Amino acid sequence: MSAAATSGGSEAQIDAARTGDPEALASLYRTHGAVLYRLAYRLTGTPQDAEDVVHDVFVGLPEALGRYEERGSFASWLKRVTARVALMRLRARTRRREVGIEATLPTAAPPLDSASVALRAAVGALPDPLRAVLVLKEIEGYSHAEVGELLGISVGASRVRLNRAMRRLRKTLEDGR
Amino acid sequence: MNWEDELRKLSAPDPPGELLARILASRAAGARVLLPGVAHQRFTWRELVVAAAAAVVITLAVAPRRRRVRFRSSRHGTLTNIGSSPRGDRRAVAPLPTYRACHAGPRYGRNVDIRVLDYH
Repeated sequence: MSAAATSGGSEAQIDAARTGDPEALASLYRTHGAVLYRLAYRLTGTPQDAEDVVHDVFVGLPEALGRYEERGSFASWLKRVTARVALMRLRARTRRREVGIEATLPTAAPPLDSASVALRAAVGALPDPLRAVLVLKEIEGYSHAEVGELLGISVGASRVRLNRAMRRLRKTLEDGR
Repeated sequence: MNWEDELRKLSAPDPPGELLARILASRAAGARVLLPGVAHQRFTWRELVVAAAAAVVITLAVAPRRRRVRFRSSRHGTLTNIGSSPRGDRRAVAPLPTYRACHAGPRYGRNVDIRVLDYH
């Protein structure tokens, strides 16, 4: 059994999706869609952007699978592709500066207690470069080397950004008490 | 539980139900998206370090030999390095004749008859 088969995408499913088979694509979406959507949501901060990111990933997936080498986990490859698309969207959004602060705050999250609401708002209020490192390192569990590779920054820069993000979060939460 | 632990468990919403239908409709309509490539890491750090060390060793082994050749050539005056072209080829030029060889050679004395120049 290949690595891909052990990590949420059977070889047959992947091969069928590679040819553009809608059933196979739907099956991969049912297996991975929710996880990828949450990742995109945490990175972009808005449900609309997260939806667009996942849409683009699955629409482009059959062609992208042509470049997929069946080494390592298929699920982690898919997550990295999604993170890249979400980060590209973040950069484009930063260039356009079309999103106000209130729009980046999560709106469609499940109901939470007040501490979680404050934490979520504090994370949402972080600048995009800091939030991206925080999400990838602290929530998604990537290493600094992987974060650096995804964001195109050095390991040192990733550490510095995480440190700044944590300090800002701490300050925001302390000021809010 | 402190806020750092809570951060790692911060929940996020589920995707909307109609997203899959939207994806399949886009594909059926012929929409295509070029996704960014995510390459698997081809070399480990250890392999990269070994390759870099090998490159340094080869450079150190070749460079002193080239320096020795240049030094010996310039000392004997038979092979003069007059610079390198971008392709790295060097040219050998013969040393120019000296002043003595041009002007005080025997051929001038041999061709001139002293008596022809005597007008008196």
